[in-house]
This record gives sequence, C-alpha cells and structure tokens, in this order.
Amino acid sequence: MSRFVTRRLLQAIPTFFGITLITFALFRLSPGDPVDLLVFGVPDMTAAQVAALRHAYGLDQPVPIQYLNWLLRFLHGDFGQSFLYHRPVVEMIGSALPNTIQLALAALLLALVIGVPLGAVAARSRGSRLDQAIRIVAVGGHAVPGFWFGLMFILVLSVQVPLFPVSGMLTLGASQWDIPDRLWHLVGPALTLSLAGIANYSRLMRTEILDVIRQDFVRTARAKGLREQSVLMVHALRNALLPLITGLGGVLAFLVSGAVIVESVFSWPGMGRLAYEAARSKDYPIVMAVVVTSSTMLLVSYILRDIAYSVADPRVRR
Amino acid sequence: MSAAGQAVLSAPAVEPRRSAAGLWSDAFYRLRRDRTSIVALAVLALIVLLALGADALATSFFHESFTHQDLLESYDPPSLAKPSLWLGTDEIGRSQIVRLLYGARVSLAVGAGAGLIDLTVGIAIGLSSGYFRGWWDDLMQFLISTLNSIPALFLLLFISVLFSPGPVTIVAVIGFLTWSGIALYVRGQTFSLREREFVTAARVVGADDLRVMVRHILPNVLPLVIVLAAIDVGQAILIESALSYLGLGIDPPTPSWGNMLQNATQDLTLGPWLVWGPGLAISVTVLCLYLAGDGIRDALDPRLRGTE
Repeated sequence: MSRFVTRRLLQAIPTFFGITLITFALFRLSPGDPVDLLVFGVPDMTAAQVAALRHAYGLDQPVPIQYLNWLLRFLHGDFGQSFLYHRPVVEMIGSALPNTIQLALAALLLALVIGVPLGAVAARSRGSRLDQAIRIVAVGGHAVPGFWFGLMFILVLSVQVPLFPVSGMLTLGASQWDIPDRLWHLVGPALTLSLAGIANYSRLMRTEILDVIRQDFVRTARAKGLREQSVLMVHALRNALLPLITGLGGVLAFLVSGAVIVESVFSWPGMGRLAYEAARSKDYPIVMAVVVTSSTMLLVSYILRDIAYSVADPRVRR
Repeated sequence: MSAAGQAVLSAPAVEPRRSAAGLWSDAFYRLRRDRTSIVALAVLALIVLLALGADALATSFFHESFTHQDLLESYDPPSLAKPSLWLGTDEIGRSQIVRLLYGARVSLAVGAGAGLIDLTVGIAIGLSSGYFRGWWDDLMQFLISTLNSIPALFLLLFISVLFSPGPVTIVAVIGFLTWSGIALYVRGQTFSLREREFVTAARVVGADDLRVMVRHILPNVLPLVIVLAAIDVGQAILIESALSYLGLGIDPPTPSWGNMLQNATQDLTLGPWLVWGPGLAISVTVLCLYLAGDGIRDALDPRLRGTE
C-alpha cells in the first residue's frame, strides 16, 4: 500500500513541474516586460533606475534562472504581492481557498445524491421513455452553460420569487457560524456547480449497473428468487459503486474549472472569483498563483482518488 | 473465400442490404431508427441555416439591422406587434431576435474553427505518438496529463490577461486546449492498428511512415474521430460563451450569445426576457451537437452504445 502511494506521489512530481513550467512560460512569452507595468505610472524614471529595478526583481538574469527563482519562492509560499491591493497574494488565496473547497464539496455531494439514483432508475427502466428522458437530462447537464443556469436561478428564485439570496456567502451582519444562513446561500451555487457532475454520474451509474447485471452473481441472486428490486438495489448497485471513484476524476475537473463561472455569477468569494477579478484588473501575480494552486489542488485530488480506488479495489496496486 | 461462400449458403440472407453495405451506409441505416438523433440533426441544420441567412432574414423579414438602436424602444417586452419585437429589445433598444441570429454566426464560427484546430492537432499528435512511440509518445503523454491537470477556465483567464486575445486567438486557444481527448483515442487505435497485416503489407510494398499513417491508419479511425470533434465543437461553444459572459471573449458590439447574456445581467428586473433567448440558444445548440454526436457514434459502432 505505502509503495503504491509513494509511486503515485512520485508520478505527480513531473506533472507539478509541467504545470509551473507552462504557467511561467506563458507569463514570459506575453508581450511586454513585467517592469514596464511597474514603470508605467512613473514616466520620469531614468534608464539607470529602470535597470536597477530590473536587477532588483532578478529580471536581468537568464530565463531558466528566473524560472528556478520563481519556483523556489513559490515552494516557500511566497506568491508575491498583488499589483492592485498591495497585499501578499498568499493571504488572499488563503482566505479564498476554503470557500471554494466548501462549495466544491457541497456540489460533489449533490452530484452523488442526485446523479446516482437517476442512473440507477435509468438502468432499471432501460429502453423506456423514462430512460430516454433521463438520457436527455444527463446530456443536458453538460450542454446547459453553468453561468446561464445560475442566472436563471437568480432570475426566477431570487428576483421574481424571492426564495434564495442573490449573492454572497452570508447575510450581511450574520454571524460566521450561522449554519442555516450559510446553507441557504449555498443552494444556488452548489446546484449550479453540480450540474455536470449529476450528468456524469447518472450516465456512469447507468452503464455500470447494466454491466454488472450481466454477471454471474446477479443471475444467482435472481435464481434464488430475490425480487428484481432487491437484485438491482442491493446486489448490482453495490458492485457498480466502485467506478464512482474513477468517475471522480472528470467530476473534480468540472468542479474546479466551473468555480470561475459559478463564483462570478453568485459573487462567491472563492478562488474563481479572485482569479476573475484579478484577470479583469490585469493583476498578474494573483492569476498566476491561482492557476498554480488550483492545478495543484486538482493534482492532489487526483492522487487522493487513486489512493481511494486502491483501497476499494486492491487489484490496482501492483 | 470459401468460408464466406459457405456462410451465405448455410444462412440465407435475412437482411441482404445490410450485409452488403459499407460503414457509412450501415451506420445511416441504424441512425435512421434513432429518432432522438434525427431530431437533433434537423435542429442543428436549422440553426446553421438561420445563421447563414441572418442578413437576408434581417433585411427582408425583420426589417431591422442588428446594430440599429433606438433609446425610445429600450427594454420593450416581447410582443407580437412586429417580428423584430418577438423577443423584445435590449437596454439600447436593439432587437433581441435579430441579435440572436447574428450571435449564432459567432458561436457556430468559434465552434467550427476551434473544432478544426482540435481535430488537426489531435489527429497529428495521436497518430504520431501511437505510431512512433518511444520518447515522443512519452513527451506527449506528459503534455496531456499536465494540460489535464490545469483547470481549463483558469488557464483561459490567465491567457486572456497576458495576451488580451482577439476573436481569432480565442478560437485558436480553445482549439489547442481541447485536443487531448481525440489524441488519446487516435493513439490507442494506432497502437493496435500498426500491428495489423495491412500495415505490414503496405510497408512491404515500400510505403513510408507518413504514407502508412495517413493512407492506411487514419481512414480506420477517422469516422469516430469526427464524432468526437463534434462533441468538442459543443464544448468550444460553451467555453466561448462563458468567456464572453465574463467579458474576456468576443467584445461587444459584435453580438455573441455569451456577451448578450453579459448585457442582460445589467438589469435583471428591467429586462428579464433578455436572459432566456441566448441561454436557450446555447443550450439547444450544444445539446443537439452532443445528442447527434452520441447517436452517430453508436450507429458507427454499436458496441460502444452507452459507454463514455
């Protein structure tokens, strides 16, 4: 087991370097010099002063050295300063990250709770109108743009019929630990974010159950006279649950990437919104740090998924 | 030869038409019975026609151009009074339905352009890494796993900050972000196809690597790849609309379904009808692309039915 975990961790190292390399390369390839941005508001700087500034930021060194310096600082938790707020980026990410994780976990829960039963029902009534309807709903979960679903949620359930709050995480003035208020604010964004996950899981579940149904132990269960209901829901479903862990990969990618959209629509103070606002005001250090941290987050969750899978199905450890 | 003859003799042809048909006509036969896919294809064809005929429709039917504004008519609710008011007007009195038609052009063009790039890059990388294997394959696998670990929208935000891209760059970037699915599929197929007899035969008669890849392996994977590309086109349309909604994609005044929704959010209470049209247009287009793609894939290879 520990050998499997070690190997999986070692595999992630090159990917992490790949992520940082792509981020840094994009940054360096972009037109203009980072110093130009700093000099922009100060036209009467002398050439010597600009050179000194360039030296102070290490920009006079060869690009590979610059990359290594940047990476080293990054690994030490020094993500630089925000251009706009003059605050350490690491602080801003530190306060946004928990909110994004909270939202993603809520959406994952919804995707499981809604997607798995939908898939099971579709498998049970395969070939029927209901199965076809669930297929269209599932494909629709991928086809409907998340931001539009969020807008419609706000338009119908917050503006026209004021049931849910329009935006934010808490009612103004509510206490940090007002759990019902938090959950009330969570409904819209979590539901919007879970759409793709619901779609993924319901299709995955349907395929898996139909696959499991053909196996011998299901025939045995039928042969000993169990009702179809309990054959499906007890014997087949339990064995079809394993791939849910595999399916987590795709769902996680949707959750993290979708955060940009959902958090912008619902003004949820997480990583996606932070990156979006920073992007609009050209605040490079923030966007760069968010790209690397969110990718690392995804990478870590892929590792956790693989470990969970190896616990559930020991055959994959080799 | 003799085995085939015996099979025909012992099993009288139940469906002679199907057994004699090629891949595409066989697929067409199966597709015809899949009503969902037929409807999806028909709707797609209609959307393409409407987008192509946007100019003609705007001048001769709606009698209004997509740039015509009239502040006296701002936020007119949908009405049947005249065709240009069917979906109401926006905050500066532009006809929503006419803008929706022109928005279809942008969305479809972005989707098609990105799909084409995605198809080209995916096939080139998939074929070459599956065929040559070795260090090139390792490098490409590394690139794919790295790209798949970076959340696409965060990367797009980053790129849009750095390069402030115009429409053409956006199409290129979306295309370059979506090729990994096609590349992985083509690579997997190439792995097994390159060991087959017909490839050896082609090599024996002196075909070089490029010719083997393009003339002998590619035709075997192309049908399904085109279907995968159709699904990626849907994804590209979604990404463009999201970017434009965030104000980082296609800039106004060029109408795109995404930036029309951005406009609509300026005041949800004054013009709630503005939120419906563009969103439904995106959803229906992408839904039809996915359903048709699924249906054609199942028709081409029934063994794949219901798999992801």
